[in-house]
Amino acid sequence: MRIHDHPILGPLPSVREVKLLFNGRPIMAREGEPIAAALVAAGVWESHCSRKAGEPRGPFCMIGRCTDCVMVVNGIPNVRTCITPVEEGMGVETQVGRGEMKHAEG
Amino acid sequence: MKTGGPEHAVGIPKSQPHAVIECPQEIPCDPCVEACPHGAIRKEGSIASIPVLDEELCQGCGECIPACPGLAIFLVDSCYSEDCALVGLPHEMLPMPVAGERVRLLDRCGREVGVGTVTEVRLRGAYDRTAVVYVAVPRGLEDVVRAVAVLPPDDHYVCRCEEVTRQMIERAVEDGATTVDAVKRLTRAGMGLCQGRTCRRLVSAIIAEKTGKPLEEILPATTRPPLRPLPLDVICRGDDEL
Repeated sequence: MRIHDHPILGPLPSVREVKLLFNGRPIMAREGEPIAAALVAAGVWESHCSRKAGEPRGPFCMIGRCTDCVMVVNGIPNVRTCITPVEEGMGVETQVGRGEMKHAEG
Repeated sequence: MKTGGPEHAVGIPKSQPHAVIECPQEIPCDPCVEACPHGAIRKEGSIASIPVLDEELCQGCGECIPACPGLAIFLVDSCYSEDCALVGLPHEMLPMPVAGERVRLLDRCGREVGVGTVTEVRLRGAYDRTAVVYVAVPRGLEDVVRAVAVLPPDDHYVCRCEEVTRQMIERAVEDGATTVDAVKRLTRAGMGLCQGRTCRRLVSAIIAEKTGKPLEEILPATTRPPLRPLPLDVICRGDDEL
């Protein structure tokens, strides 16, 4: 789902496309758009599996508040994908519960 | 009196329960005529004419309500109680309301006009799965309410991060947690990833609702830095920017 012509924002400007890897699967995204937006455009609504009830969760507030969109990004869990811009070659994975740190940064 | 569209419903004597036919379509259809055990509904002339209710004969039994394929017949009792009128309406939605349940009242355009209480849900074999919901509505709304919507269940999430439902918070308040901090300690609402950004106002509202206190008197929970989520190494490195 993607809005190509918006009554207020106008037509979607053309930008460079980048590739991100969602659970190992390549997904094309618009450079600089939030990860969550790229995934929703690709039909992916599930970001993580809730910690207690084990229920699927997806982007809810879309402004970085609610943390329902958190995923494992480049090995780092609990990244709010709705406010994190897409980068070329980024690895994005569905998070389970709290998630696990794959490798320390830096 | 001819009872066609909604405009004809106004002005019907309000002394006793009676059917209100809001059928605007001149189509060959007459299950309402057949369904009435008292012969109070007639089609004058052709089968395609708009049905006419004889109010002298109508006993207010409501048997015509589920018979209408267009869900265009209702029952109205303006004198149900001191301050309530009763509306019987066809209902073909799930979840099915139950007697005693509070439901949202909707007008002919689906706009919410108030809250009512279901008095009875009638669903007989002959009704072919169309239920008749009887709902007590504030007096004056009996000519307005033409549908009901079931209120959201109490198990909606209030705190999304810690998966705390409205019911869990209400129970905590009943157990004596009448401040946001106390509810937080009992249920963990507000202690998740988002740190209460989504739920804190809702928790305050539920406490106000349950205790009868004005919302302004419900103090927010204690706030401590950091005020927005940030990676721990930012604190370690002492970066100014984020």
